[in-house]
Amino acid sequence: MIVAPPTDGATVNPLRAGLPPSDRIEEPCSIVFFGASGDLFKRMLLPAVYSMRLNGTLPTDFALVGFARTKYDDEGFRTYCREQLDTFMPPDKRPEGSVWDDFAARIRYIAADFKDSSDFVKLKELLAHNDEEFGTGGNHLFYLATPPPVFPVVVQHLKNAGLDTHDDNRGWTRIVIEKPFGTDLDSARALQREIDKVFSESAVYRIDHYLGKEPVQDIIALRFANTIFEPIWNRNYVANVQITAAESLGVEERGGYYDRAGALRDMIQNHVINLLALVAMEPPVSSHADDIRNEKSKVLSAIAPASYDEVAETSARGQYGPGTIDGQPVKGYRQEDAVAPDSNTETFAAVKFCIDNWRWSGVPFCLRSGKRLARKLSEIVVAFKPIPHHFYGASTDDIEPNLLVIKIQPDEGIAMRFEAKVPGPKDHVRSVYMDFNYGSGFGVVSPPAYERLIGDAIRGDQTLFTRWDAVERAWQLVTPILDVWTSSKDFSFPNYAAGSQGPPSATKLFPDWRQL
Amino acid sequence: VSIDLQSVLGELTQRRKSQLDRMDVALMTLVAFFEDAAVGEWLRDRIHSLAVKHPSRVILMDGTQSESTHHVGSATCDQHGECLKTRGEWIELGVAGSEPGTLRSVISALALPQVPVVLIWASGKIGHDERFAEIFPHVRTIVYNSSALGSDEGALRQLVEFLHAHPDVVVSDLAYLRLAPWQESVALFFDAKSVIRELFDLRGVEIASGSAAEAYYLLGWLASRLEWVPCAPDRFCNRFGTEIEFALTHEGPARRIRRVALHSSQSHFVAELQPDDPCAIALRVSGAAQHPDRSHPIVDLGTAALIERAILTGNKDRIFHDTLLAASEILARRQA
Repeated sequence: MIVAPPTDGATVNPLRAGLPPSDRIEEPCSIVFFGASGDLFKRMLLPAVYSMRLNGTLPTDFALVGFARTKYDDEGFRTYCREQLDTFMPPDKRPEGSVWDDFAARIRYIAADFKDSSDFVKLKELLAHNDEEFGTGGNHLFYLATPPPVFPVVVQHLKNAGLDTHDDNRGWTRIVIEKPFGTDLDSARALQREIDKVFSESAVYRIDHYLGKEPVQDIIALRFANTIFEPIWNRNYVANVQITAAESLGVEERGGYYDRAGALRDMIQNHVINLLALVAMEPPVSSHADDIRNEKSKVLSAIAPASYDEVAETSARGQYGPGTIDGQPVKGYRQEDAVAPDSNTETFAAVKFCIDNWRWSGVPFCLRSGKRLARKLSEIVVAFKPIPHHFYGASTDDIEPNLLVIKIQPDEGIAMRFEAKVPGPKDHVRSVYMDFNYGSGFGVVSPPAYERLIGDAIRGDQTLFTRWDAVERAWQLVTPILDVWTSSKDFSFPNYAAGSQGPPSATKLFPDWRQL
Repeated sequence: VSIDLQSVLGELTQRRKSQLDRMDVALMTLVAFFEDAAVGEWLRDRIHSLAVKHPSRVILMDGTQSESTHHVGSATCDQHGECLKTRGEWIELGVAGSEPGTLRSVISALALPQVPVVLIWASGKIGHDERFAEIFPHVRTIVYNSSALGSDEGALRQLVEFLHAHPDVVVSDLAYLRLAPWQESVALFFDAKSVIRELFDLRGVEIASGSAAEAYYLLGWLASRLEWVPCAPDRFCNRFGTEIEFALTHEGPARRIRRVALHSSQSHFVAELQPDDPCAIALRVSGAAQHPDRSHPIVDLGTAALIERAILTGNKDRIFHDTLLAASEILARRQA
């Protein structure tokens, strides 16, 4: 006879209580990867999930389902997965032993046509089977790693197959949607309308892998786990904020996609505006997802979109021509594969936003992103105002304003520029850098962004995922610029050489960019 | 003080000026004390792994060397010449025969200000060692390893006595921290609401391990969480009077759990190292609570990772204290 638990209806495992929070995600689940034969899955998603398995963070009761057009059976897909892990995982993390055997046994595959509803019925049957065989508890995470036009089709079929929710409230259903979320404001709204018909916002995880990077998350820690920054984080002390996402690479094999997108859609509308929101938002009341996302949304709503007349004075565009990078000649954008020879697409975009609220009134937020620039660099620079009084008199050295630099890539860390007296009898003052690097500060390797984000989606933590209101607002902010740029040809293109700092128009927009 | 601390401080300053040890970030002062050369070698290797991950000033108090011996170096490169990006400082001092006050003054003089001091005490007799008694009030966290100090049972008893006398001191025992994947695995059996009731129907526990301390801790953890009290040398009684028999067997390599089995009247729960893979625990449930077989990876069970966890935890762990108390009650009952 089973002895009754000490309290009626006890639902808390007493062995779990008091244990340090486990790295392992406790809730079981099946993850379905739509587009599982694609590049994103094999390079990023599969290695992230397997790495979670090795690190012990993946739920013990877990199953992975691949859903794509390519013809595999279960065993064939397992072999494919193993080959990809052998290729894309570090040598010491390649699949072997009982951990791989257990992982592989939990992999299933459906060779499917995304337009065929019967394949989604098969998926439903397979997930029910997984719940029985692997104890996945009716929890289903659908990951859309397909080309964007397929997103609404998959969402609709999930509903038709009854995979949107459970009739008996057993388990949860979540959907992860890769960027780009729409190609403009109208298409984003259309996609959202389709999603709204099927999933509530709390079930939708719009992924922006930039937000999974450790230094991006550290913006919140820097601002709200220290007392020294927040008092000066406002218009009284800050002269401007610069956010840069620069690449030295060109469009590589993505010429076809990029020529339809451009830098404004590809980077500014999502990654860079998200960074702006984190830097400029008010302190959230807690670290809860919606408290943070509320503040991000509020600060974006305080930015007024430019009128068409203002576009020219608040933005700059560029396109790279031939040039030299790392001592090697490189071709211009219009000479890249799958790019129109008279392309009007911008490979560089810079935007100046003003945040109309008490904290930031009058402080320009200058955003830029481009390809084939002098070097790969992503950073946020908070430039402080000059000293109010030249203490040493006019004849001494120039005194530079302080800078706080949040380094995102390739270096990850925080640097501070301040002035120091040069030792000696004269009053010489020079700028010095205090430079903190994650690599030398902590000998801990940050988990790849996808590993963090997939884990958060399984946990149900939406903090690092973008809410619809923020996505919509970001589209609203760039739409006037997009409209003007697409409706007017820039005859100066190409207007910057590969390997340079960008077009002269960017300097005209904002002369104080930190040098790349 | 017979150790030449001025020379040590002078060398540290000189190295900083000459950029040999440009420590940008310091997270702690890590003090380790040992009196056995083999233990010292083992500790050096583990502490190096830790120091390159968490830049620190490391002070190794070597009880095998005379007080005239000291060495100031870097924690950036190991003895094989492999160097990493993190930078730290590495000080070795001979402390054979040193007075307790001398050891205390070493910490006072060399500990970095404003970062915590962590002491790894790799010598026995904490209960009756004047040197330990002199220095422990000056550190924030004490790391102990009861299963690496000769008699596991004796080491556990000393730890119990020490914590009884000094309840506010933060101590972490690596033998307890080593249990984490096993605690996680055993807890995992009972996470489903439908299975929780089985916990209160347990009738038997079997633990196979290579050292006694880990086994007593695991048993103590179960007993403290489920309100079992020892009612015979080989059994507990739960609050409803049901008896739970337990068996400990010595099996496998030192300091490693090999197998945990729990039996209720209707189900059997077995967590066991995979025979072909020491980095994974196979979980099997049979009987009424039957569940598909699972595999749970063992991550970061190396000593350096355990010390890291001890340091990062940093606070008093109530579950550890309850577990230690329960383990000591089991030991007392078995001894009686």
